[in-house]
This record gives sequence, C-alpha cells and structure tokens, in this order.
Amino acid sequence: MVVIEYAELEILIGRIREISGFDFSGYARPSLLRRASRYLSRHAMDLNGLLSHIEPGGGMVYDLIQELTVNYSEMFRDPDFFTKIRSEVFTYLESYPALRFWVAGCASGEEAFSMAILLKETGFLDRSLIYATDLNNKVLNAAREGVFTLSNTRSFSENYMLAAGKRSLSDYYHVAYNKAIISPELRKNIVFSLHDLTGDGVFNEFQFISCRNVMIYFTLELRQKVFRLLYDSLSMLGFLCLGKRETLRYSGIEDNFKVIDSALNIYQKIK
Amino acid sequence: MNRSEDPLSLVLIGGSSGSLTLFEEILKLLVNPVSFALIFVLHRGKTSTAVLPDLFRNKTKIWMSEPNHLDPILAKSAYVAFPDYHLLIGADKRFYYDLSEKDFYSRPSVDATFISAAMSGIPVKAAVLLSGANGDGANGMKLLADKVDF
Repeated sequence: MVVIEYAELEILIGRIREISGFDFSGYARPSLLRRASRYLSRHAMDLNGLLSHIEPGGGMVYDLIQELTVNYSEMFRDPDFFTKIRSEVFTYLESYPALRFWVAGCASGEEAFSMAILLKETGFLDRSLIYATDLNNKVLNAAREGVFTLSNTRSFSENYMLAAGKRSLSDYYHVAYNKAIISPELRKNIVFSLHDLTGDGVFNEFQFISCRNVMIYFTLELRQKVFRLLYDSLSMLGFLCLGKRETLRYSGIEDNFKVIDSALNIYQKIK
Repeated sequence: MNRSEDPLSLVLIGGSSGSLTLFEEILKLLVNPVSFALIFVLHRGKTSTAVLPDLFRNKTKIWMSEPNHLDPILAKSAYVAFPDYHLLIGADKRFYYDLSEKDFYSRPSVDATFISAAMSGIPVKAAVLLSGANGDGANGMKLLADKVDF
C-alpha cells in the first residue's frame, strides 16, 4: 500500500496543472490524498514514478484526473430523499407551465434518470427539462449512452422500491448483451452537457437543483464560490438539494434559504 | 462545557458489525468528559439510518454525533461514521466525507479513517480494531503504528 504525504500531494497538484491545465487547488485535500494514494497502490507505483509517467499529450494524466474526480452514484440513492421531494417539493411545482431541473455534477447520469422517472410518475415529465452536467467528458458520454450493468440495476431496483416507485424499474430499461439500457423516452427530456462548477458560470434559471455529494469535493473557499453559482442559478422559491452529510453551514448563502428538510438537506430559496 | 478550547487528540475504534456491543461496553466505561475525540467507524449497511448515536446516547453522557462534512473535530466528544460514505480526518481538524469506491466491500471503511488520521498530524492516543470479518483496518493500523508516536 502506498500513502503519500500532504506535501507530496501539492507537488502532484502542481504537476497536473502544468501538464493538463486542470487545477485541483480548490479540491478538498483529505479526499485527494486518499484517491491519489489508491491510484498509486493500484498501479504499483510511487509518486516519483507517477510524476515521470504523466507527460503532456499522454493519456495517464487524464486517467488520473478521472480517478481523482469521479463520483460514485446510483439510481435513487437515498430513497427517502425521493419520497420526500415527491411529497414536499413537487406540490410547489405543480403550477408552473414549464419546469427546469439541474442535476449538477451528474457523473454517469444515475441521478438524472432517477429524476426523470420521478417526474414521469408524477406527470411532470412532458413539461420538464433536466439539465445534467459534469466536468468529466468520459462519464458524460457514459451518461448519454445510459447503459448500466445488470448487477447495478439490481441495487437500483431495491432503491427504487424503497423510494415508493409506482412500477418496476425494469419498465424503464431494456436488456441487451447483458446490459441495461435506459429507455429513450426518459432520455429525451434530459440534456447532458459539459459544465465545470468551479469555473463556468450561470447558464439558465432553474426551479430545482440537485447537487448531492458534489460539495464534498471542494475546499471551504471554493465551496462558497460554487454555492454562489447555485444560488444565482435558482429562481425565487426554487429548491436546492444537497447530500445527506452536506449542509448549508459555512456556505455564505445560508440566510437566503428556508429549510424544507434538515436531515435530507432540502432547501428553498426565499430571498 | 466548552469543547473547542481543549487541545485535540484522537482515539480511534474501527470494527465490523459485530463490534457494536463491544463499543457500547466501552462507552459505558468511559467517564464524561473524556479528554479526547473518540471516533468510531462501524461497518454498517447503507440503509441503516441515523439512529446509532441515539442508541448510544442512553449509555453515555459524552457529547455524541454523526458529523457533517467540514464539522470541526472537538475534544470531549464521540463521533460515529455515517453509512455509505468514507469518513476522513483533515489536517485542519475537520471531518471530510469521501465517496470513492469501497475498501474491502466497506463504506465507511476503517482504513480510510485510520489512514487519514495517521496523515493528519493530529495526535492519536490509541487505535483499536475490532474485526475478524475481513482485512479492512489492517493497513490503517500498520500506518498508525509506523507514523504516530502513541
């Protein structure tokens, strides 16, 4: 097992920036340390070996960036979150003729597909657009394809049942070549696009933003900047959803929101 | 009781699901206030809800929580890792959550917490591993033994 020191991590961050332009300086160090160390262990390399292997034009630096940024998700992660937004949030949205949702940091699309299913089952899907964004092109391409392994879909199905799904999850995908492919009907209201929360700006106004388990990647300072972007992207009385262990504390925008559910971190913009 | 002014040191306990009762026994033996931050990482399923601190609260008077991301780590407190995230200890004396892959099919993993504690530079008074289920925690124990002056 290889574990690098924090001082060594800073060297790696500098080298990645030099070679690829990707800047990890605003990313939470403990998580980066864990991920970089695991990457080295898996490739049986020490830091010097890695530093000499990542070079301009080489594939390794992008492989490494992917490893350091990837977000493991699942469909209907935290089933209680989905039952709660169905019961507490969607009633507010009923009166809107058109709805825009943003899944910020969507990884390979699990949350966006879950939202689409929820909207379908509540009758909102036809007047909704879901923007699902990520900074990582590779995972976005996977999201656009909407293909999952069958073993994944088994755990997704369990979540879906716990989230009080109205049908069977298998109604929303078909199986081919031992893979589950999400149905085109769900995908037609989802726009997957490249967006870096730390550098790119506001691109639309939303009634609902799900940004769950994304803030845990950023330092306290960068996190405040990202929170400002989310705030500016929300319409008045729009909803912001964070992961179960992420709160609006230390965000700089906590006074502008009403708490809808403190355990699930669902907030509504009120000023 | 002001917890934030005390110098911080850590006592780490990690274990598989069977270690729950042992942890309860340990809690009962501790006298409030303890001088350190007690951090407990238990292998538990993602659907197990946030009842653990409530369950333990009857056994102890020590202040206890399942921390949020970025919460400061304070002495005279006990913390329980939340299910389905890795709980990391930052050099800035805050908790950090991480959603990378599982170690030994476990999230939270004991290794993740123990390794981050060893690298944080925060004094560690003791680390205990209560597990026979798999190898999770062994790497962390070794690193703590190598790096930390107990």
